[in-house]
Amino acid sequence: MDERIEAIERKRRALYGTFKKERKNGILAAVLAILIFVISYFIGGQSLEPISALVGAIPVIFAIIFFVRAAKQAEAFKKLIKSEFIVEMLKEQFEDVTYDHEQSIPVDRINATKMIKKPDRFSGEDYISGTYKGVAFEVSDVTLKERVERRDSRGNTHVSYETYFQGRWYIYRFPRAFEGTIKIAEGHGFQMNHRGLEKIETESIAFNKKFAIYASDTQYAFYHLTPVIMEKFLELERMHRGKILYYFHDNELHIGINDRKDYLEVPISRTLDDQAINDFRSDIEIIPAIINEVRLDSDKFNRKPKRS
Amino acid sequence: MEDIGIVLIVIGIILFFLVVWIIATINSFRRMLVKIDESESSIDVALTKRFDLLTKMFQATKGYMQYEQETLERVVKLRQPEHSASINEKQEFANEVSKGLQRLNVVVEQYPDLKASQNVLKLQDATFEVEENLQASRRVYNSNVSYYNQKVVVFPSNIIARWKNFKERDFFEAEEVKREDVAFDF
Repeated sequence: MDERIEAIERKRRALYGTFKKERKNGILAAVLAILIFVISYFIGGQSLEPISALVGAIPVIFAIIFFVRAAKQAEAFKKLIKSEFIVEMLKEQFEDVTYDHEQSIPVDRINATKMIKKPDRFSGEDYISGTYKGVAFEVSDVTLKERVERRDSRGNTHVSYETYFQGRWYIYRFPRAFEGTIKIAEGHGFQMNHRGLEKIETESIAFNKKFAIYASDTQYAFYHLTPVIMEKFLELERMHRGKILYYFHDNELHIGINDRKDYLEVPISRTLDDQAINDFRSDIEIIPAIINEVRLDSDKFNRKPKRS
Repeated sequence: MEDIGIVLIVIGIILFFLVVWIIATINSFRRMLVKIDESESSIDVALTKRFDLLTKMFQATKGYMQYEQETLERVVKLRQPEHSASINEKQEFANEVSKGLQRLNVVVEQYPDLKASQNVLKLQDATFEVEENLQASRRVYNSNVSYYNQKVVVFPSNIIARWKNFKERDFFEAEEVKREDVAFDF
């Protein structure tokens, strides 16, 4: 693996060298364009002649070309990291693992949980699926946006799309199906639809303060939310910035982390050193850590008959 | 005269809200007692299942227990308390069943053919499940009791509690062996 990292690091340096050169050329062309426009503006008696605009447009076109070429280098590095490096790391840890950096968990699966409002725009990437200790999982980065309309003082309407969830979505699938639902959202859980569910107050004051908890029945909530699991959920929450949500239903556990983080990303400028590798690893190792800590591989989640 | 009228209206309004509050508080106490009773029923169900499993485990292992006369006698003597029995009696019964199951598991560990028996394995597996359900029922019960007891002792609802004789309820304590340590390793 070390040799592999070194090889990737060599490729990164080569790509970064080209990237810097293209970016520098782009900046120079942009500066030149600005100078031409400014000088022409003042020479032409504070108005821009068509010929000056034409001359000024040439470095603008070059600037765009250089920046696009720089972006291509960054994109090539991203592809290199994702297609070679991440896949290798994933195969080290998981069985039947698949990875597609352009795909994501379908929005319908997220909407079906009714944990957060339906987005007007949805995108996602870095889709990973696989199995660990008999527990199937799916993970991806997701971004959910809503359409916002604003009216200015002149009565004009401005439409924009604002991000209300950006982070990671985890789905764990265990063999045992449960007849119940538990919804846990940080804060008051305003975005969560809890119709038909009852509000739960556990014996943990810290947990109740941190989360809004709703379940199809109290006994079922307490069955899953043991003191140990509540502490683990709190610990997972403390590990991440932003908001976290948990959803138990049938044979699935969903965890959504809205921390505005883009996972599995390394900028082209960053040297692939131990720190960068560890950051990558932690993005991957959290997947089995949840299985281990919530003990999704235990008998409790593997018994075939339904809970009475 | 007008002043007296205003005073009477104010007193009437205060009395009205007082009566509404008294009725609401009494009803909330009754609702809490119903919830406690429901959760106690869940404990009863879990205890019954657990006792059934103990009996089945006992049937499956008694042939191996010639040196475990004390265990034999204890299990045979065990009788499940009625639903109306106090929570302390139920707790004692739960402890006895736990001890019985622990002893039977020790017996199972001593005999490899018993340990390998599919029937015993199934029963042990079912025991864990019932155990988890019992723990959930216990915690639901205790959280209901905790909420109710708070209302019984906290002012002003304690006035109604004293007047209507709503008494604090006992908790269903966790057995020592069930108190797990929490370790984190994310």
